[in-house]
Amino acid sequence: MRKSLFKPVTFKKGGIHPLENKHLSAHKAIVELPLPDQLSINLSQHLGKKAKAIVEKKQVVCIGDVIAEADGPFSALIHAPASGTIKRIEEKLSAQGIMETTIVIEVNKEKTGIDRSKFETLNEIDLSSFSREELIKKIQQNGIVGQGGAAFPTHMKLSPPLDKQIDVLIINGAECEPYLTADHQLMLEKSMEIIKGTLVLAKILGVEHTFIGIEQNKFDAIDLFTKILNDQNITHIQVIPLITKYPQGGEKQLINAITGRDIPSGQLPFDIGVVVHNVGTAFSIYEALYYNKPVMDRVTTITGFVKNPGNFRIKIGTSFQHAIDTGAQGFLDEERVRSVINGGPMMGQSVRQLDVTVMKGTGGIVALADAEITYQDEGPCIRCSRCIDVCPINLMPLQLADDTIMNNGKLLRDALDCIECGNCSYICPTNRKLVHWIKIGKKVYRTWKVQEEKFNKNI
Amino acid sequence: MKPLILTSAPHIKSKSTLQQIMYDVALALAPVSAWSIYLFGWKSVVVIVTAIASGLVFEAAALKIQKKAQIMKTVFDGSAIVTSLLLALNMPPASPIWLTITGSFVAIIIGKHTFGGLGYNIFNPALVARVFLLISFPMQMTRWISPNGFNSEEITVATPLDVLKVSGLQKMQESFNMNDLFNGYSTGSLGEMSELLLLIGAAYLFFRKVITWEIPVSMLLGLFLFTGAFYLVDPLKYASPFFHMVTGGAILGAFFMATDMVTSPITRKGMLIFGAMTGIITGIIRILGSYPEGVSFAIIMMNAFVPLIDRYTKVIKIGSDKKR
Repeated sequence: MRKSLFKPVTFKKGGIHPLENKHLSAHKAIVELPLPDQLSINLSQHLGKKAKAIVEKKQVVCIGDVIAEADGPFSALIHAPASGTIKRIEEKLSAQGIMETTIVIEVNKEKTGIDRSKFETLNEIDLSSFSREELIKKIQQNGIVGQGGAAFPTHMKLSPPLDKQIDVLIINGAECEPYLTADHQLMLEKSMEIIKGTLVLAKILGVEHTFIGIEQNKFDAIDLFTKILNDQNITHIQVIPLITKYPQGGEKQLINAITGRDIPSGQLPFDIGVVVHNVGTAFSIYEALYYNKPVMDRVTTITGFVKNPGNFRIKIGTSFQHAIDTGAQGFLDEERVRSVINGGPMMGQSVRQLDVTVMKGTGGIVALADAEITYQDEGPCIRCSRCIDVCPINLMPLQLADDTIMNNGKLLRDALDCIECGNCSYICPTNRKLVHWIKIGKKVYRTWKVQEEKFNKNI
Repeated sequence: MKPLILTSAPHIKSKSTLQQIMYDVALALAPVSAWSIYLFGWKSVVVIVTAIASGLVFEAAALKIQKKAQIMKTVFDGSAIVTSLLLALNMPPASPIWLTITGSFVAIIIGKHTFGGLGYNIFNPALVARVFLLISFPMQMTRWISPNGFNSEEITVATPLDVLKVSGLQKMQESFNMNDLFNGYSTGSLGEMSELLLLIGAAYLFFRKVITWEIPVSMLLGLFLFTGAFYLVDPLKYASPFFHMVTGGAILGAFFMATDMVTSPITRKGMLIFGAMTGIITGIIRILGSYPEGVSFAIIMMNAFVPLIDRYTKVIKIGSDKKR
C-alpha cells in the first residue's frame, strides 16, 4: 500500500484543541431521514444574492423542479426537495437567525416516492466528452453550493478570473468543528463517489495538483482514500494527513498547511492559485453528473444532548424539530437543553426556536445541555495574551475588541482579516466575547471608511 | 422545554478561568511561603495571614464603594489573594502588623482599585505597596532578623546585598556562601529566601502555562550580563553574576512579579524587551545606585513603559504586506 508521502501537516500559527466529542456520532451509518409533512425552504440558502421564487401559492411541484431562480451569477438555484403543493410563501426566521422569504411545501409523500425514481438511475458518463463550460453549467443548474458551512456558490469558485493561474485544488475533509462527523461518515461511505467528484473539479480547473486534506483523527478515512487512489492508480490526487487542531479546516489554514502559501490580506484563494472545495460539495457534484440529481438533501450530524446521535441524510427545508424527533429520537432531557446550534459549536448559530429548517450549509444540529453551556458575564481583560497566541491569523483580538467597544473605526482595519473561528473567545479566561466584538468591529470599520471617504471627497 | 439561550459563537469554552490562573499562582507560591514559616516561625505566619485577611477586606470594601455586582465572587476570584500574598512575601519577617495592613491598603486600594480594579492597573499593586513602604518606613522595612524558626528571639542581621553595598565584596564573601544562598539559609524578605523552592513553583506555572519563558529568562539574562560585565572588569570589587541571581528578589521578581499579566507587555517580542530592561535596571540600581536592592524599582519603572512597548511591538497578521 502506498504510504502518504507527507508527514501530517498543520497551519503555522495559533489553533486550539477543544474537546472533540465526535465519538457520539462517529462511525454511525448515514440514515435517510423520513420525509416530514412540510418543508420550508428559505431563499438565502447560499452566500450572495437571494434566489427569486418562481412558484406561486397552490402550485403543484414535482421533486427536483426549480422553485427559485438564481438572481445574477453570484447566486444559486433552489430545487423542490419533494413533490407536493406550495402552501404559502412567507417571511420566516431562518436557522441563521434572519427573517427570510420562505417557500413552504406541503409534501405529497406517495408522489415523492414515485417521482424520486428519476434520480436513481446511474448514467455512466465519459468525463472527457464534456467541456469545461458544460460541466460548470451542469453544476450551476443543479444548485450546488459549498457544503462546508459558508455555502459559497460552487460555480463561482470554479470560474476564476482569466488572469489567475490556478495550480492547486484542495478537497477539504478536515472537519475540524467539534461534535460534527457528517463529512467523516460521508468519506467512509462514499469515498469512490467523492473521488469521482474530485476528478470533475480537477478537470474544470485544469490543475496539476489535487490534495485531499483529512485530519488525523479520521485515520480510517485517510487509509481508505490512500488505498482507493492507489488501487485505481490515480496519481495526481494525493491524500494529506493533517494534525488535529481547530481551525484546521478553515480555508486559509488548510491552504497554508498543505501548500505553505498565505493569502494576502483582502485577497482570495484565487490570487495565490488555489481553490478549496469541501468533500460534501465533491459528492454533490458526483450526484449531479452521474444521477442528474440537484441538491435537495444533505448529510448532517445530529448530536449532543439527544437520545440517538448520528449522521442523517436530511431534505433541505426539514425543521430542526422533525430532524431531532425522528432522527435523533428526541432530547435526552428536554428540560436540560439550553441551546441548539445550526452548525458546529465553534462557528454555528444558536437558534431561537426549533421550527427553523435545515439549509444547504447546515453541517450539524448540536444540542447542548446546561452542563456544557454556562452563560457568564464578560470580565475585565487581564492581558494574558492567550487570544493572540491562539489566533490563526495572528491578530490581536484584545485590542480589536477594545477598539470596537470604543467605536474607534480607524484602528479596526485588521478586523476584516478575522475568519471568525472563535478561538479567542474560547480561550479567554475572563469570558470576554472577543470574536463577537470583532464581528461588530468589521461593521464599525466599514461605517468609518464610508464617512472618511465622504469627508475626503468634500474637501 | 425552557426557552433556548441565544448566544454568539463559540458556544463552548475552554476550562481555563481567571480563578484557575490566580489560584495556580497562589499554589506555586505555597512552598516558599511554607519555607518562610519554617525559617521565621510565627512572625511569618502573622505577616502572611495579616496581609491576606486585610487584603480581602480592602478588596471587598473597594468593590462595595464602587457598587459592583457579585462582590463575594470577585473577592475570592484569587487576584486579591495573590496580590496580598506577594506583598507578604516582599515584607521583612519582623514587620509589625500595622505596617502589613498599611501595605495591603496601598496595594489593593491605591495600587489596584484607583486605576479601575483588576485588569486596569498600570503598576504591579504588590510592588507599589512595597516601594511605598520602603520609602515611607525605611527603618521598619530594612530591619532584618536571622532565621530562628519558632524561637521568639530576634537577632538583627544584614542581608547579603546590604553587606555587599555597605561593607564591600570581601566581607560579603566571608559571611555567606553560594549554596546557602540558593537553598535559602540567609536573611531577607519572606519570599526571597529559597531560590530552589521558587524555581519549583515557577516550574509548576510553566507546566500550567500560566507564565511564558520570555520575561523571566530575558530579565535574569539582562541582570546576569550587566553584573557579569562589571565582574569581568574587576572581580575583586564586584560580586559575581551568580551571586546576583540568588540574592534579593531576583528570582521572585523574575518569575512571579514581572510576569504579572496585567502589567507586562502582551506580545512575545515586547516581553523580551520588558524583561531585559528590567534585568538591566536592577543591575544598575544594585551596582551604581544607593539602594542595595533594585528589583521592585526596576519592575515598577518598566511597568510604566508597557503601553509604549505594546505600541511598538504589535504582532503582524498573517497575509500582511509588512515584513515580519
